[in-house]
Amino acid sequence: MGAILEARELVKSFGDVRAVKGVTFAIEEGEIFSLLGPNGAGKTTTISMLSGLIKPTSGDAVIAGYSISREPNAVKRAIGVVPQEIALYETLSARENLFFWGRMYGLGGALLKRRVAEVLDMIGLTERADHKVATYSGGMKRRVNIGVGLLHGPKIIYMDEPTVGIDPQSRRNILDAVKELNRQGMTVLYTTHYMEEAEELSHRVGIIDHGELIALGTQQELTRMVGEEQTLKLHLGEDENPTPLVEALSKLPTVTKATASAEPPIVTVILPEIKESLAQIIGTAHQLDVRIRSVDIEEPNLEAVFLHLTGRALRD
Amino acid sequence: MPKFLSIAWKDLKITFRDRAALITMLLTPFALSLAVAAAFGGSGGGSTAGIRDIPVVIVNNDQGDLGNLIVEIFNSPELVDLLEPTLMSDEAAARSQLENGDLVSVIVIPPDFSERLSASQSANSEQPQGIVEVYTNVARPLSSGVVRDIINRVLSRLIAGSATVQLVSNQLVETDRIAPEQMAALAPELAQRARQLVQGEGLISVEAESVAGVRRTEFNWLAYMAPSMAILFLMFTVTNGGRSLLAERESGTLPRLLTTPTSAGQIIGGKVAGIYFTGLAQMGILLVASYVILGVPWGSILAVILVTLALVGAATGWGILLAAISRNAAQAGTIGMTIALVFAGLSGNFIPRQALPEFMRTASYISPNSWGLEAYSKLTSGGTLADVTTPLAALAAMALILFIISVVAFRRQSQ
Ligand SMILES: Nc1ncnc2c1ncn2[C@@H]1O[C@H](COP(=O)(O)OP(=O)(O)OP(=O)(O)O)[C@@H](O)[C@H]1O
Ligand SMILES: [Mg+2]
Repeated sequence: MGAILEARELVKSFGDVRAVKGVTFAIEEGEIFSLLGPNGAGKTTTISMLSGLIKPTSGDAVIAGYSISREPNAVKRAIGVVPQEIALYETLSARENLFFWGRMYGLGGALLKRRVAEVLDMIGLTERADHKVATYSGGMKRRVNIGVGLLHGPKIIYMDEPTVGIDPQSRRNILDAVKELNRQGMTVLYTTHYMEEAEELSHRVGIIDHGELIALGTQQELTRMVGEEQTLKLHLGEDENPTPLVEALSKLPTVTKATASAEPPIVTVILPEIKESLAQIIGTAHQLDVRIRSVDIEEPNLEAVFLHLTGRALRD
Repeated sequence: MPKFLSIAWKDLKITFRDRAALITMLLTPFALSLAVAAAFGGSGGGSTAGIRDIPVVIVNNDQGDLGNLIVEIFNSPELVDLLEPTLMSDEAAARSQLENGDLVSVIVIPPDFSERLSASQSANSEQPQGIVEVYTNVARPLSSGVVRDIINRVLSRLIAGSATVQLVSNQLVETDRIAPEQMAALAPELAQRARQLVQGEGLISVEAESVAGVRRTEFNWLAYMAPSMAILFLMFTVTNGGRSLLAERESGTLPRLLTTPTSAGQIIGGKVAGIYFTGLAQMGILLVASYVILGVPWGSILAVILVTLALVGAATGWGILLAAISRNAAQAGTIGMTIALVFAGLSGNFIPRQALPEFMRTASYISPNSWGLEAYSKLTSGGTLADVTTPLAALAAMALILFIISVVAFRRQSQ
C-alpha cells in the first residue's frame, strides 16, 4: 500500500511565532497515524494546513494524489475533518446538522438521505437525531462532530484531539469507533496529548514538540530509542513537594533522567538498571523526608520516549 | 440547491426558530409603533389623523380688510377639526399663554398688513418678509408645522392675488378713469375683489386638501411609526446577521466550512443571502401585519415591494460591512447596535424628521433608514412608483457600494 498523505517540510509562522517548523511525514493507506504532543506543540496548526484551512508558509502536502496548495478542492473532497472544538449549529438537531454539512460536501438527494441515516446509526444517535444539539451531552456532541466528517465517505479522516473534555465512557466509545472505522478500511490521522490513546490506537506515531517532529515510527521503534532503560514511578504522599527529590535524584550517577508531575505528586525516573539503584533512590527520599506511597516499574512507553527526547513530561 | 442557498436557508431556520429573536424582530417593532401612535393621538384606525384641535390665537391688528380674510380662513369649516382658533386683541397676553404652553401658535397680523400687501408691486415680487408674525410652541413641533404650513399657503395665494388687484387698480389710475386721491376710498372695494379672487381660485378648498394630505402622510402616527419601527428593527436584524458571521468564525463552524469543498465566495454569499432573506421576511411580516391588523395604508403594492427589496438590500450592505470591519463578534454587536441607533436617531425613526435640525436631516442620507422612510411616507400618502424613484435608486446604489466595499475589506482581511 502507498502513502495516502505526504507532508513535506510544512512550515507555518504566525507573525514571529513559528508554530510548525518543517514537518515531514507520510501516512500509509489503512493505518492509524497519531501525532502525539503536548499543548501548543503545533498539532492543530499542522492539521489545519493539511485540511486547506490555512496556507503553509512553506512546504506542501500531497493527499490522495492532490497537492493541498494547488488542488485544495480535490483534497477537501478526499478528506474528512473532525475539528478539535465542536463545530456544529447548536440550535439545529443532529439530523439537520448532518444534512447541512452533507450539502456542503456536495451530497444531495437520496444519497444524502442514506448517508445521514447511516452516520446517525454509526454514531448511535438515531433516536435522539431530532433533538437540538444544544440539549446533548459533551460525548454526544463529540460523536456528531465526528459524524459530520464521515458523511461524504472520505479516504482519510483527520481527528484533532477528539476526546478532550469528555467522560471516560464517551472516550471509550470514541476510541472503539476509531478502531472500528479503521477496521473497515479508513485511514486515520489522529492527534492527542494522551500517551495512552496513541499507544492503544496507532500503528505509527509521530512525536511533535515545539513545532518539530522529534520522533517517528512504530511504537516498538520508538521505545527502542529509549534503549534498555527502564522507568520507575514514585507515587509520593499527597502533600509532598516532588521538586527537591527530583533535583537530588538527577544528581545520582545511576539515574539518566528524573521529572515530576504535581497533582498527584509523581516522580518519574529513567535509569538503566533498577535493581541496583532502587535502594539508593528510596534512601535519598528518606533523607529528604519525602514520603513514598508506592513504586511502579514500567515497561518503556511513549511517555518515556518523550521524556527521553525532551527532558520533560508529556503532561505537567 | 446551490450551496450558498443552503447556507442562507440554514441561517433563516436558525433565526426563525429562536423565540427571543422573533420577539425582537417582529413583536417589539409592532408593539412599539402601536404604543407610540396611541400615545401621540393616533386612534389606531389608520384613517383618522393624530393631530386635531390645535389651539391658535390670532391677534388681528390689521386696519384694512385682508386680516379678516385670514381669520375667516382659519375658521373655515374645512379646518374646523384641525384648528381651534381664538381671536384676541392683547398680543402680550396671547404670547404669555403661548409661553405657558397653553397654545401651539400665536399669529400676529400687523396694522399695515392690507397696505403692505396692496403695495407689493408685481407678480414676480418676493414674498414680503415678516408680513405676518407667527410665534410657535417649540415643544409641539408637529402642530406648529401645520400652522406655519397653512399661513404660508394663505400668504402666497394672497400675494399672488394682490398682484392681480394691483394690476387692475394701476390700470384704473393709468387710464385716468380714477384720480389717485380717490384710490383710498376705493380700497375696501378692492379688498372685497381680492377676496373674491382668492376664493374664486379655490384657496380654501385647496388649503383643506393640502392639510388633509399633510395629515395623512406625516401626522397619522401609525403610518409614520409602522415603517419607522420596522426599519429600526430591520437594522437590528441585519447588524445581528453581520455579527453572526463573526460568531461562526469564533464557534468554529466557519473554519469547518472552509475545510469543505465550498469556496469562500459561496460562504460569504450564503451569509449575505441569509441576512437578506431574514430581513425581507421580517419586513414582509411587519408590513402585512400592520396592514391587516392596524390598517396602515401602505399604498401601491408594486412600489412597496420594490422599495422593500431595495431597502433590505441597502440594510444588508451595512450588516455585511459591519462583519468585514469588526474584529470579533462582541465588537460587531456593539458597533451594530450603535449604527442602528444612530441611523434611527438621524433619520427620524424616533422623532419625525421635520422636527430635526437641518444638519441631521442631511447627514441621515447615508442611512437606509431615511431613504426608506421617505419612500414609505410618500407611498402611505398616496404616492406612486414614480414618486419614489429617487429613494429607490439611492437604496439600490447604497447596497451596491456597500457590497463592493465589503468584498474589498474581506479580501484584504484574508491576506
Ligand atoms: N492563529 C494563530 N495566531 C498566532 N499563534 C498561533 C495561532 N494558532 C496557533 N498559534 C500558536 O502556534 C502554536 C501551536 O499551536 P497549535 O494550536 O497548533 O497547538 P496544538 O498542538 O494543537 O495544541 P493543543 O493541544 O493545545 O490543541 C502555539 O504556540 C499557538 O499559540
Ligand atoms: Mg490543538
